[in-house]
Amino acid sequence: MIFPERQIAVEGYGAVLQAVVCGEVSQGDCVVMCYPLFEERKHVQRAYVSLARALARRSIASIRFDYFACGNSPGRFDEATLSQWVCDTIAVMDVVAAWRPGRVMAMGLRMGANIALAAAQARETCQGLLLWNPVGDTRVYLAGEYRRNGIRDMLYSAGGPKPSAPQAHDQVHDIAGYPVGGGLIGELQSGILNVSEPPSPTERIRWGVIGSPGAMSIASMSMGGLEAIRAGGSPFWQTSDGGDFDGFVSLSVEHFAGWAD
Amino acid sequence: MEEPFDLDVAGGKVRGYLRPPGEGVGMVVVILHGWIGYCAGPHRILYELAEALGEAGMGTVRFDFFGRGDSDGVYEDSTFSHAADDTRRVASYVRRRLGDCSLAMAGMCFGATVGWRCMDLWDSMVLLSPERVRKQAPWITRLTALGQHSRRIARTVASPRAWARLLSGRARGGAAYRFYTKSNALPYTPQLPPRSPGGNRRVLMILGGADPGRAFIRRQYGSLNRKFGVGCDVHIVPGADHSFCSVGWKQQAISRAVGWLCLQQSEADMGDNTWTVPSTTC
Repeated sequence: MIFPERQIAVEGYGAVLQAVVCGEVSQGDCVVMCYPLFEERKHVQRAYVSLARALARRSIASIRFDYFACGNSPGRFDEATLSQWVCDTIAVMDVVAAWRPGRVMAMGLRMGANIALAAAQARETCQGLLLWNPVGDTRVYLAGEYRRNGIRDMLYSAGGPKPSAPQAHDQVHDIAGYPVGGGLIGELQSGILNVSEPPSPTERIRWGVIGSPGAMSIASMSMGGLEAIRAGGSPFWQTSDGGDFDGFVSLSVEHFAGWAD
Repeated sequence: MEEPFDLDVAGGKVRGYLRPPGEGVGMVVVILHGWIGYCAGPHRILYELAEALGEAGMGTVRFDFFGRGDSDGVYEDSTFSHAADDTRRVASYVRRRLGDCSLAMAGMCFGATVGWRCMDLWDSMVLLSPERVRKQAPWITRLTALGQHSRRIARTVASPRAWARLLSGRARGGAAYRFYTKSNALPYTPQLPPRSPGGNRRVLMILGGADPGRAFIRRQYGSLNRKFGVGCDVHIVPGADHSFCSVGWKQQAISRAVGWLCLQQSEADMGDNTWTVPSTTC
């Protein structure tokens, strides 16, 4: 089946965002796909593309976009914050809602799930939300990024200390080549986007939470009464050589197609 | 500001972003990404390189190879020769779109090797941590692929999950066929340019000081560049890994690449077509 797929520029929260629309935009439902952060964004690229094409084959359109200063969107990463990315997602949801008569749904993986959740709670137009391995505690997530950074530093310490970036100051942290500003660090440390608590049930939004069995957020959501699916398989968002994401695609399509019916 | 574009290639479309050069600047840099990445590169190094080149007035083109990033195709269908074909098509698209301009290339890892293989297209080339050039015979590639397939089949036979899928009728024929018949090994392609393209081409290699393959790459490209009559400069980023995974390393690599390309452009503008052997050579 041939379906249209085109790149567009979307007006985000005060900045232009690069996005790709997959599927027929004039009818039916549309899924807003939120990328994770840092290097996980690179690793999930093809999984998201495969999901978008699988949804298009089921007549569900999708839009995948890069937040301000991420991926192909312009902006300085050290100026980016979680709040800005949530506002970007809301802006994209508004654009999609203005385009089409069908429902707007959203999905995200890892920090993308946390951002999608915050945006969906702020916008009544969003009627379905699928969270893949949301980050339970953003402080733990940040600590994990620092730990990975530390391991890399140890591996390459023979070459001498890393040079500091010319514009670096106390407020800018170097996480795997990304200059992370104090605003983003502060928000991650404050836990404003934590999803360790299950989201309050509403009639408006249909929820789905999928994740690996060990994920803290999945366990707590199950205890909170939300139906959470424990998906096996390797965490392909951490593997750099193209992991197996068939399960990710088929389970996601199953959810969205079910909601669309 | 970059404009999105898409382009028909064999089997579908490749997608990317083009930034026309500034007034009076004739150089456009085609940026090629690595094997598993996409056109922004790891930690956005290629995006930031394009931004820095744009600030220097140069045009830039970033695109995803077929089967990568937002381009059509599936991951397993990507090959070295497909990537080289994509590069040639994008280069002719840029010439059609922007008229007579001088083309340069900046590639990272696999992209650097692909771009170097197409050296007849460019006046200048920047290779960021290029891959080694493979010169193996076809039968070695076939043997490697056979080994990969055998390992995959053995893993499947030993996997209870695979048996469960098969017995419950959830096994997908198309995906299984692709999985068992495609190889991750790069199919045999002569990765050396077909002949010396002539002219006064120059290449800058930027390598990480702590990249384990640095010494071999430097030697290999050094001798191959001599063979093909390409002038070669080398810059080592002290302590850096293969993908310049820190803000400081990344900025050093970018500023060196931009400075070197500006120099090449100004020499070309002045009509100085003779290159001198620089102090640090391969």
